[in-house]
Amino acid sequence: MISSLFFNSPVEILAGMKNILVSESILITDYMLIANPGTALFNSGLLMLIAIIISRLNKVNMNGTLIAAIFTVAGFALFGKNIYNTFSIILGVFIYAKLKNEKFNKFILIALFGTALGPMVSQLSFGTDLLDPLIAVIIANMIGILAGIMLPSLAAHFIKFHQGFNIYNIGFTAGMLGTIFMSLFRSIGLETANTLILAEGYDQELTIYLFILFTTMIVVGYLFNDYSFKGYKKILEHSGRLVDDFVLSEGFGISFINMGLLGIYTTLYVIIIQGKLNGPVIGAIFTVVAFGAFGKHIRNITPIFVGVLLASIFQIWEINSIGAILAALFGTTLAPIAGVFGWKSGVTAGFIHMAMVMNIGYLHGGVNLYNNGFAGGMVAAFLVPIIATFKEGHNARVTKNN
Amino acid sequence: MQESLKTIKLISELAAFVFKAGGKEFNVDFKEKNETITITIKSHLASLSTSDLEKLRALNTPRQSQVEEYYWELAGENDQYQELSLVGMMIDEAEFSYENKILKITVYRHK
Repeated sequence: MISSLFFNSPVEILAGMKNILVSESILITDYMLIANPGTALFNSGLLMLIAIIISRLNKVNMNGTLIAAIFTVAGFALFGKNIYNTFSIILGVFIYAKLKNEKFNKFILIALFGTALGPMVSQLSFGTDLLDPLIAVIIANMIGILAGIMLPSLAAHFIKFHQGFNIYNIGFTAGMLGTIFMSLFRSIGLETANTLILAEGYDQELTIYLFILFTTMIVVGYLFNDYSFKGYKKILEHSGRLVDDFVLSEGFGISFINMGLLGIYTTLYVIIIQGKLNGPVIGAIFTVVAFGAFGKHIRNITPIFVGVLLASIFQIWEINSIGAILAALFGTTLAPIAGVFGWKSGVTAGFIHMAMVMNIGYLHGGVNLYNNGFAGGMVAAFLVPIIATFKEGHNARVTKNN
Repeated sequence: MQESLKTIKLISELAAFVFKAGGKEFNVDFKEKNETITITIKSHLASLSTSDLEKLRALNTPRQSQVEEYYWELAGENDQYQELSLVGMMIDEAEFSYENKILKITVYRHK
């Protein structure tokens, strides 16, 4: 939050916050453009702080999944999540917990990740002229609460669809929920506009900002890890398949180092392919960093990058277009496929993911921010049984020959 | 209902481990008393590799209620991929031993 002041004045940030709060926030809406970079970073810090406070108040253990959830909220607060559109969804999950007579802290991960559906609330509140503005806000928040109530049952259930090979499980759940809601909206004439709002011209400042941030994370991790990088080799040996909590298994320090290294690695990837740094791209980088505590490392995400790079040669999308950059960064949701089955399977997953993610956004009309998690769920559900069958056959042959 | 399903999942996951370790027969003992369930699985194994025994350490992962609610349906779902750390996150205590070719695993879960 403090770093936002390096980009804009408090007055500019305050004015920018108003723009963000009343934005439709449909995928892809860069808060760095509809407000300014300082406000986007302030919004990101604010939501991160709120997520931490909610977690602390509910006495939730700080583990890899929670760190991933908090950083993911921060990442998407650069392009779609804000304090207005996330509130009703979290409230919905809270109501679910009360209805089930359970403690809310059991569902905190689902509440935080579930804010992926924030744009649905914003779109209904500010993006339709079919309703009176006040009625629209009331209905939007009621639908946000309803989505929050539905999320816990669905999130736990849909995980079986991809067998834990899609790290952004809520992305798939929110994609399904978003698709169903959007179908109902379309049936009464409500439609979302194709949205692509991207900031430009901040590459140099944002590059410096990101390198300072990630280097700091590595230094902090190094201090917590007894002034060493001990344990990093063990992290690289993890497959990343859910549930793979690096903080619990290897410790906080080395997990934080892994997160920082992933940040530098992914930022370099964007720079090397001559991509632009903006809200969505930084949000995607933050999300990879987030899951550096819970499944991702340089070894299991690289094959996904290679798959997307190959796809850009054969498919119609330029490698440094926003869609392809996001497909590569968020496509690392499929890192467990590389981690479990090897690099060739990872490259295949990345290749297919690129085509799938470009094709699937229409279904939910952009109301699900985790579009890549939605696509990743389908890619994993399709690929894993096939790869597993051939691997089994291969293993059986090897055993027979021996 | 969900509580009994979770117990079934825990038993499945432990049974899957024994199968993978080469168990040809095993006994499962289940008990529920004072809001605590106890599951014990015993199997005769001709041998158990150090790496397999090492994998069981994942059962000592501290209980994580929020992870449980999100991921519990993944436990016991697949015989190829083990979820022992998830089992650890769903239980309060675990004991395991391999003596005289008998593998014995006991897990305790407070409701």
